[in-house]
Amino acid sequence: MKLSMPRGLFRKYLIFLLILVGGLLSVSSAVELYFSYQETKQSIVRLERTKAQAAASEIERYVGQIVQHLRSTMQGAIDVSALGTAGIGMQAGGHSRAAALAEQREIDFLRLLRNVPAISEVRHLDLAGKEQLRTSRLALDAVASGQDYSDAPEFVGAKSKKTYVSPVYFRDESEPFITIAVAPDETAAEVTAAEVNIRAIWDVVARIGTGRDGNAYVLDSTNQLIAHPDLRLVLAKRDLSAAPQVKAARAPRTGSAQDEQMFTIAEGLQGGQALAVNAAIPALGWLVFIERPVEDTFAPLRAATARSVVVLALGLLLAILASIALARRMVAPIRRLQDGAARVGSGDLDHRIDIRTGDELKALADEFNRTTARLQDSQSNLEQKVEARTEALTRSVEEMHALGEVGRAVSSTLDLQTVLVTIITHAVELSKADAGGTIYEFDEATGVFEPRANYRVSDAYVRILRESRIRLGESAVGKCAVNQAPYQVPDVEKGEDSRMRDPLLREGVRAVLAVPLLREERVIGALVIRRKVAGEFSQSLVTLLQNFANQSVLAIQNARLFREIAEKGQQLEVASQLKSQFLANMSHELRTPLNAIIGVTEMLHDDAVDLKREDELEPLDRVLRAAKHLLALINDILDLSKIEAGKMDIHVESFAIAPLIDDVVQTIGMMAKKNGNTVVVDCVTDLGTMRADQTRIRQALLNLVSNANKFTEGGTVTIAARRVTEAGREWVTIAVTDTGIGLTPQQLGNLFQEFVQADASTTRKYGGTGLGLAISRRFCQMMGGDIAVTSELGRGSTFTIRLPVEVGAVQPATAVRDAAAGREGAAAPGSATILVADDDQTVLEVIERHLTRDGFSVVTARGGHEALRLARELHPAAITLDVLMPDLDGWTVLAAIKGDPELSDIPVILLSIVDEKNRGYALGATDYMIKPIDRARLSRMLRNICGALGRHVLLVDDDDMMRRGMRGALEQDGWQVSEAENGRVALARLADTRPDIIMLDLVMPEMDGFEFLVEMRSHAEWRDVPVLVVTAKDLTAEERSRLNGDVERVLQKGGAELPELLREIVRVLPRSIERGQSSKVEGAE
Amino acid sequence: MKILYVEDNDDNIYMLERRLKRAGFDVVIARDGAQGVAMALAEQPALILMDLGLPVLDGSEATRQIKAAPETKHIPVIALTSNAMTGDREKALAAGCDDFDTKPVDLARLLGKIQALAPGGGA
Repeated sequence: MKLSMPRGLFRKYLIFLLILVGGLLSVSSAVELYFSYQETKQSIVRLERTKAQAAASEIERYVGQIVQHLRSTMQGAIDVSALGTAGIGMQAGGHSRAAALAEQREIDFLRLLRNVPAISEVRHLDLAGKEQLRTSRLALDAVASGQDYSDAPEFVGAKSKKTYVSPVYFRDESEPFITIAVAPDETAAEVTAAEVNIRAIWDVVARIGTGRDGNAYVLDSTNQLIAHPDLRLVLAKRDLSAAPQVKAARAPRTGSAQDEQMFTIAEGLQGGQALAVNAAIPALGWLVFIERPVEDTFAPLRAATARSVVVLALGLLLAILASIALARRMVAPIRRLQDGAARVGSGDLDHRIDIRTGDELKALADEFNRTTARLQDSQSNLEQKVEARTEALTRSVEEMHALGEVGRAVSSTLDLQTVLVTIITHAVELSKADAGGTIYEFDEATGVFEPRANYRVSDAYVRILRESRIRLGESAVGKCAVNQAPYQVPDVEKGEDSRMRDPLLREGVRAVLAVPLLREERVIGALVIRRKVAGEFSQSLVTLLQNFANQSVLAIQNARLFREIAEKGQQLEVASQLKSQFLANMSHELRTPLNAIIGVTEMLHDDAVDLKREDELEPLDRVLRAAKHLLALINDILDLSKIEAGKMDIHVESFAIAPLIDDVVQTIGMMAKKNGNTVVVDCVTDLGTMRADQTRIRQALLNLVSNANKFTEGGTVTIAARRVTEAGREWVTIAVTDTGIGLTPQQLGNLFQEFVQADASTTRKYGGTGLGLAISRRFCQMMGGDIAVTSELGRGSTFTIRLPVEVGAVQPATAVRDAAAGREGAAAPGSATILVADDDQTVLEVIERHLTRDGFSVVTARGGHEALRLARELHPAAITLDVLMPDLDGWTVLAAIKGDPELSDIPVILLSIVDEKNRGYALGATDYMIKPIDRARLSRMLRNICGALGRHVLLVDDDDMMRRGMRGALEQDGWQVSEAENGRVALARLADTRPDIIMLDLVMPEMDGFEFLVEMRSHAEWRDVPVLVVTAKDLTAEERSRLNGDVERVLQKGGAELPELLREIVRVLPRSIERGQSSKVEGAE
Repeated sequence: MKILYVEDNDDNIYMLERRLKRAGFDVVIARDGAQGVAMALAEQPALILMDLGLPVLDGSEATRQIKAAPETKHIPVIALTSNAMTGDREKALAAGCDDFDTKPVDLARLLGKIQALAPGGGA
């Protein structure tokens, strides 16, 4: 991890160190350089000056020697003159002395010339300045030439200053000369003047070597260059008064500045900047200059400076490097500290800062490291704690999860095995019981713990567990049960010896924990987990397992309850079925005597009318009314029981709403008139069609309308139908409003309950079963709708049927087609209409297609109710009726048809997979066909039915009385009768004329009924003649089955009075013929 | 002997009235409970046959009123009901009925009960 380090500190240190070290170095170097430069310069100047002074003093000495020579020469003359002076008085003598003096002087002069080669001429001037003697190397000596030099500078100079040196002058333009004149003293007025060649000075000057290009030169008092190594310059007789160095040298001096001003840098004589140093020769007023080109002079200085600069640069470089190093060194540990702090700060607690500076930084780092270590310790401590807590939490979550799942299993499934396996699986997983676990259920009957669910238990051991049949007190399981507390065996090896010990050890189990399943302090089982490692089970684990045990208890309890409930439910279902069956049966059973009551009463009523016995009419009417009420009740109960048993089906079909309402209005018309009520229909014009069970809706609506009429007198019953859309669904509402007695709120409350009318007394006053509303409402509810009611006591009530326009989604296409077919069939005149009733759409279609092809007009009904309705509506030529139909079975429909005077003449053919011909015939069926249907036969049958019916009966009976009685009754009813006293005769009769029906006694001499039947059926032409058995014989089952299929019907003689039997025969006979007719056709073919 | 028959069902009235008359009783009819109470007072019958399910005032309440009035309290009341459940019997007796019989009426039995409560009546 590379941290971005702020560079600030390093830069600061670096700059600081650079300034410090570099600055000091630079300053010291500069100072050093400055002073050394100055010193070096001064020493150079001094050197040059020394040279100049040396030259000056040499020149001076040289000139001084010459002056000395001159003086000494002059001294000789003085000596001579002193002699002469001593003898002042002796003037005469003075001439001689003067001569001697002159001579002496001449000698001196000559010597002088000889001794001093520089002097080229010596002159002696007298007091007046007249030349007395002249000795010259170049010219002839002259004595007392008298040449006047009194104004000559040498004379004047010498006179005033004893010694006079003239400026330099040249002879022959090449030889420099000066004139030196001396006077012996102030008193003496004579002057000796010598012309001196100063070429020697040139040599002196030339000798002075000053560096490469340096040179010396001399200026005389007039600042004329008199000596220079370059003679051309000298001979140019340059006047250097204007030269700065000369000016400086000639300038008056102040003491202090003397030394400093001893050199001048100016343009040299030979061009270029030059250093000029001078030395004065005061006696002569001359200046000796030593001049060097500056570059040359200061070359060493520059070298030194360059060296110094190089050294300085090196020093600075070193200083920079050192500073960097130092700054690095200073910053590095801080960096490491910062770095370390950052790493520790970012969580790397293992990091240690390595600083070995041995100073405070190291101390700081050490302290930091110690803190980090402590932090690491505390953090790892904390981590351990957190880990521990997390583990605990995870564990609890797992436990919660497991318990949750177990709870869910317990509550969501009733399969005990599933639940127990779920429980033991979680228990084993959570408790890490590596040797698995088992849940036992305690069988109280046998006292044995049965293993119910195992997890992670080998099949072999499961077998052992099952075979062990552990009892109370045995092994951990039995002990925990006895103690009603958890029981553990921490080490099976050391545990007590039980018969489970060895199997356990063989399985590698070392520790066992058993928790009892307790329900209300009764043991119902145990939960056991096993481990392969010996050791105590923790309390928390025990608690956990107790939880699982509780769940197991719940599960077992639930399962037991469920079993009970299921059993009860089954019993209830059976009971309910029995009840429904009972009710259905009872209804039939009740109807039978009721039929007799109604029938007989009607008969009596008719008799009373015929016999004009008016007083009997009223009681008979009362009986009839009560009986019919009872019949209605029974019918309602039957409907209700079917609804209750769920056997009432809804047959959805598409139909127009308006006609249905009109139909109901028509039906109620008479009743309304009787109560003085007006029926008002208030329907929108576009009611259209709906898809529902038309029959049920008609029934419900009729119920409401008739109720409204029943409870209203001289008022109005309004039927209002609407289509409404609610919640995206279309509804049809049909409201029936009356202006009758209305209902109290309490009455409204239990209005729809079965058997409850608004008031118990209304039953007496208004009749009705109290079931109609309940049934109607059930119908509507079955179709997804309902019936609602609003009412005001004394003002009237409104009952509203509310139904979805589309009920369900049951086979819409076929149902619609059904209805269409029905309408079509009904509308087709000319051809005979056959009503085909079956709940199976396929059967309907097949029969319909077949019969239609055979020229029948077919109307289909999808159920018993519809069949009844259509039968009433259409009065078909014949009806084929399925026996097993869900809503209203064939028996009921048949009974209803035969019970309805308007319909009873319609021949009905039963079609069924159930072979119950006798029952069918008993109920008045014309024929009974077993499915699958022989279509050709059905067609033949129907053709015969639709044709004319025969009226010829053959009586076969050995009892004369019986024959006579029957003949009477039959002839009275319009039958043509022929007789036979036994089977053989009957066969003969058959050969004569073929009857439409045979009435056969079974027990006869010669040939009994059975034989006759066999014989007759063996003849193809007679085979299909219907036979009605009338016998006093108590038939065995075997005999019945022999007859079955051969005879149309069996009537018992002796069971009833003769007249009754006769009536029955008269009633039954035509129908039997209907059947026989069809058989005949079949037989003929 | 005069019997007051309190009943609202025509058929029942028709039947029982005739049969009682044939048995020699004077029968007067009341068609609801209130009428029954009034007629009990007015007619002072020897016995009252009281249907329990009646309009306006039901049989139990009517009986209670009859038995509460000093003028009629002595008249024996036989309750008649089509509800053959046991509760009805207790209800009737609690209302003050002297006896109880169920519909459909078994005339011989009813006559026996009438005889027991109002001896001397009938032909």
